[in-house]
Amino acid sequence: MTFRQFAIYNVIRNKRTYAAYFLSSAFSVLVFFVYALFIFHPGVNEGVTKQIAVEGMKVAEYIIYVFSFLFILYSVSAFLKTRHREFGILMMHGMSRRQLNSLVFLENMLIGFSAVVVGIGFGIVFAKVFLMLGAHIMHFVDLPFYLSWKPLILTLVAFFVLFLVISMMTPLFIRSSKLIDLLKGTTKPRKEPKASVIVSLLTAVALVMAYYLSVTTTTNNIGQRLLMVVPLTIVTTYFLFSQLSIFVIRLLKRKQNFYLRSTNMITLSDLAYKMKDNARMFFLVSIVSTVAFCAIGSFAAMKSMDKQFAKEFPFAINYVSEPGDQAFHQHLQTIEQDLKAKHLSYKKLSLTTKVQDSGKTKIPVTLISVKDYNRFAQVLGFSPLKVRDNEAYVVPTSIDGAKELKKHPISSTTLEPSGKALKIAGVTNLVLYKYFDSSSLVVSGTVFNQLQSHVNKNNPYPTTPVTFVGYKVKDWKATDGIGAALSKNIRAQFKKNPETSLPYKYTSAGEEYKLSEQMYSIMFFIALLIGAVFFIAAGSFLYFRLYADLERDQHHYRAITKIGLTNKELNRTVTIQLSLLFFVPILVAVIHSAFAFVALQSLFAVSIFSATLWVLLFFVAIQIIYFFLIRFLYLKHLKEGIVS
Amino acid sequence: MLSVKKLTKVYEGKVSHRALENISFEVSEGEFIGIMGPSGSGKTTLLNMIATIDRPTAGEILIDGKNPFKLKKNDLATFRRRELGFVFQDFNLLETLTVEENIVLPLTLERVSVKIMKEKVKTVAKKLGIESILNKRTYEISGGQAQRTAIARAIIHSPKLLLADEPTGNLDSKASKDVMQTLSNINQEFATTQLMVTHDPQAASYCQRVIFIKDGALYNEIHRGDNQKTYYQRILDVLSLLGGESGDLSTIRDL
Repeated sequence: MTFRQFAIYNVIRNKRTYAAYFLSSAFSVLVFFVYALFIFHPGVNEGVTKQIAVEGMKVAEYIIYVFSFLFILYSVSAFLKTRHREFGILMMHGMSRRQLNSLVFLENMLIGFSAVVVGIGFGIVFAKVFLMLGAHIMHFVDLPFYLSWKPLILTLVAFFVLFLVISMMTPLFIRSSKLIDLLKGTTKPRKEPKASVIVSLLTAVALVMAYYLSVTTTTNNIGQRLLMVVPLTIVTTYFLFSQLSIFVIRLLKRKQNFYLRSTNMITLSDLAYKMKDNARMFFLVSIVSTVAFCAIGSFAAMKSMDKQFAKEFPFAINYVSEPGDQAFHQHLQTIEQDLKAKHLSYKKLSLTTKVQDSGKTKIPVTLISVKDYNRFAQVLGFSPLKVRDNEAYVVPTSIDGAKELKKHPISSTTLEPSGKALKIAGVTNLVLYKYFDSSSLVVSGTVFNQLQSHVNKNNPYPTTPVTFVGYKVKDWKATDGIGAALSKNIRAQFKKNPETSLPYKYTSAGEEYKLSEQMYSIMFFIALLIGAVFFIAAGSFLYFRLYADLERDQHHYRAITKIGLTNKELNRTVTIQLSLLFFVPILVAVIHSAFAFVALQSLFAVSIFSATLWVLLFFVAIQIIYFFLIRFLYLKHLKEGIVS
Repeated sequence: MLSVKKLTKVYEGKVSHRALENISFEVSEGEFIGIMGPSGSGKTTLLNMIATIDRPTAGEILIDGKNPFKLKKNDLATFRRRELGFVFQDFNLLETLTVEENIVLPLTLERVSVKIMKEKVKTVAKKLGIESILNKRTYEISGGQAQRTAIARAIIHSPKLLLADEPTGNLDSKASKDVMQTLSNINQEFATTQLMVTHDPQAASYCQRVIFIKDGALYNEIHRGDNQKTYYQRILDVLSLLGGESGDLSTIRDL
């Protein structure tokens, strides 16, 4: 047996210990490779949304890389901790510190390299499936199978370097170099961490505060709230487990009637013994799962936003004609022809605006006559307005804008250069057109007729009086592709010179919806894979926690079964311990995520409840399956140890 | 060969505990020494220090004239690898390796060629009667076989000094007898100096000399005569004088 063989045997014959870690690493490599496949796919580089997808995936690559680094670092250090006795034996037989380091290095590189090979291998074999699935989820036209060297090399080099760096860091993890300590190894029970009343109280208060802050989050303060709530929650979660678990177990132990009954004593004393390790593991799994839930949940929620869309776009087709638009009639003809070709019936409405400046802010204000407004309101199903000569109503550009205006109302304004003073009587529920340059004011017919348009040329973004034409189409989602020629011209002009624009604006709600749906689908796809990487890593932590102690547990249960623990009682003890291990952190993650979703809800006009509920249920279901699988395997392994 | 001079070990703690006090003795080349004493007398502490696992508080240990505690870390590793062999009560075999691989471990660390390894394993395994189990994994063999494997591992590199900590502690009487006979044979055939800590008077009766310790200090020592049976009886006599708890003595077995 050469030294290299020794390292190889150590890994291969310990495959049970390394299984979850290996699979989880390989899965990270796989996801990294799949993103790289998309990023380097020639078909993905065309079109705006595809470019956004590529940018998103690049970010995802970094996230996965950094996370993998931390995950592997933690796993490796945890593995080494359980091997102290083994290292002690080796050093007694004359292994030098250098040899020990090179042994651990070889072992790690072996696992790492195989994980990279398996991850990439899987990626190549199923590349076609991944491309098809990805294209389907992201609403791309099918991406043909295409495999270049670039994603391969990128993944290979990236993870090879990662494993190399971590393998070189491993000597730092074997801190104790005293032989006698190493030989005693992990057999001595770890001390229970001390519970402090003050820290526990602070934890409880901090948790309530974090939850309170997330519940009261609004659109405006979500950014700053996130900065406060996220670190607060992370710290609290750690103390929640390290403090609360002690309290609960102490409390149960003190209740002698409960503690001394049947298998409770075995279960509880075992839990107390592993407390410190468990607390840390609970913490990690909770946080990692919370991130996974939130990432997937929020993007799943964003996909379901067609109701909000219908509110944002009362007209399916919006055309704004600015001064100098010579093809006005021709454009409308094109639109109407397209609508006819698709057999879509429509109601066409149009109005012409005037422009003045706001006296205070010098910002241009668009003016609409109340007659025009009421025509629109009737068709769109809003109540008509009565506007006096000294009054005006604000028509916001978007739903969010409307909320904002209602919260911080403007009481009055003076128009310039006319000097007309107007009292703001309210904000309409109707939004006209999202891409109007500014909110509009509805004024009385008399006032509207009196005022002359005034375009302030000094304004960097001058607003001109326009003619707005809207087509109300019942099946608005079908309007994607209507007026495609117009959209194409606008895009071409933007590409040629982003500074100047054509003298008209055109938007079809169908196209907008398709684009935004696709955007969120891309985000969802990216978040889904990252979330999966996180969730599987959490599963790997759990698996590791169990198998690190398997040998000790075998010993432990062998002793107890000799005293007379029945098979059924053994199953029950193990099941209780496992279910705590599996479901306590997930439960905390679900509660955390629920509060996070409440905070996120403030960003949306529609409810994200059902989408996020499904995501959480899905994860819990997977965790239950994982629980039964591991319980089966663990009991099997445990009993093998007891019989022999 | 081995000289222990005024060895003292104090465990610091809330109540510092003097485990060994001023112990001195000499072991000459090729001797087979047993160390006995009641629980807590400091036997294992003494052995751990000779094994370079633990550091003495005062005094020195010379193995072949060299003080291992003055060596640098790397040289100490090489020293252990070449000059020392260890046998433990709980065998301490590596579970990932087969019996054969466990035995050649010291040679692997020394980076000896595979050919030489194979030859040496063959010789050693034959001597210990474990040829048939060489390809088995550690969980497939009995306690006696495991201890013989551990002994094979401890002697494959022909160390100058073989140290054993309760080698029969986890074995039944038949296996104990086999293991002690093996150690005794090795001592005679290879002239390996051996030092063994034991509770078991029967195991001790295989040694040429038994040193008794009580409360960290030397208490007595007796030499083996021609008759193992009377030697065994004398060991028992000393033990009863030592006044250890009765539980410390294993049941008397037929020789």
